[in-house]
Amino acid sequence: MTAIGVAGRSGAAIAAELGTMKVSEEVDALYTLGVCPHRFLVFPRILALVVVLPLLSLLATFVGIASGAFIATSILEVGFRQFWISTQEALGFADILGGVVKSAVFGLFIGGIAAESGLAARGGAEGVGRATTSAVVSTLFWLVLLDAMFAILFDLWNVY
Amino acid sequence: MSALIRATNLSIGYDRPIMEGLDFEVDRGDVFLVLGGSGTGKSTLLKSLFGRLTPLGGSIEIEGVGDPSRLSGRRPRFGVSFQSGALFGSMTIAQNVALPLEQWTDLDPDTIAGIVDGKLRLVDLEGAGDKLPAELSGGMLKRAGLARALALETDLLFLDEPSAGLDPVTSSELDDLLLTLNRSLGCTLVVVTHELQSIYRIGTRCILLDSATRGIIANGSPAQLRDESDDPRVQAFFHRASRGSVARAGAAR
Repeated sequence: MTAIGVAGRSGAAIAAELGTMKVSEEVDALYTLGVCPHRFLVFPRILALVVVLPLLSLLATFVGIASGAFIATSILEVGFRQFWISTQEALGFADILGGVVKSAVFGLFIGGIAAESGLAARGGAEGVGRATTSAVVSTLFWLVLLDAMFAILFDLWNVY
Repeated sequence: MSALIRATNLSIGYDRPIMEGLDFEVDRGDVFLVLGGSGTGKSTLLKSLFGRLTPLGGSIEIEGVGDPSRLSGRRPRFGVSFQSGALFGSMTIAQNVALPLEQWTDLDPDTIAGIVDGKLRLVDLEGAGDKLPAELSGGMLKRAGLARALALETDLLFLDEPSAGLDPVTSSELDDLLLTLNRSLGCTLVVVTHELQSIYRIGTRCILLDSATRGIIANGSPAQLRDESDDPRVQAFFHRASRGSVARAGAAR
């Protein structure tokens, strides 16, 4: 869920920003200055997502557990101690590590797909719009596919 | 005089050729103009010359070295000034001009700042270094782009429609700057332009592209082509008239 939110927000922003730079010849300008656009524009964005998405995922997990505790104690009449014990029983280190690894891979794909879609933009503002739409659709497709692949792998490795 | 740029049997385009069989040479010290109507492939030719588009056929040599696209990732041999300036919007004008110096030299920040000031003074933009591109006018953006293209002391410049969209006074000032670069600093300029005033003022040689024949229909100095060519397409271009009216005028003579 965190990755989907980031794909819609940051993935679209990356595709639109790089697409605008492409159609306004800024990417061409980088080439003519001898600066590699992938090193200068793409790599830092991918790195940022690979670092930040796992942290965001941890934050989302914490917020999810806190929200669960609130609902359990205020509506379902479950004591906080009981909720906490059950959570500790259900949640292992491998679950958290699996989520962190998964979200880092999701970050890699979101950044890579969004950046490449942006750099492939052609034909002015309309091309930037097409690139942004393409980036979001492709990213969502890959997130679902990757999530399924991780589920199979984790099941094979008995991670969960 | 040895040719600085030599294009031989050149075909250019994206998926299919826009121009085919182009043969021309740019001599050192030329202000070489690429002329033609809209959509004839002038900017495509320029992009091919500075290596952003791979030719579909033929060859391009700059100082005897073929395939300009191989220059990517190396210290640039030439500067390029884009139609819109193509400055990086998140960086100030000074940071834009400093970028190639930071990338390709070991100069300390103070020396780079001094060079940047000098380049901005050359293009009459002193004091604008701290501004963002969004804060500049169209003419100032083009001049800032020119300063960035000149940052590495290159003696070959490619310019894509430097006067497009500028008022006559600003356009004339830009022509003055280009003439200074050519005559005082010895820069060879390859310029795509439509502006007749600029063509006669700065051009030493030009080629005229024609989309119907997908080739060069005239090659020479602008004044020579205007006065001596009897090709109605060339006359139409240099007299800003429709081809039909030029043909009728020729028949009447």
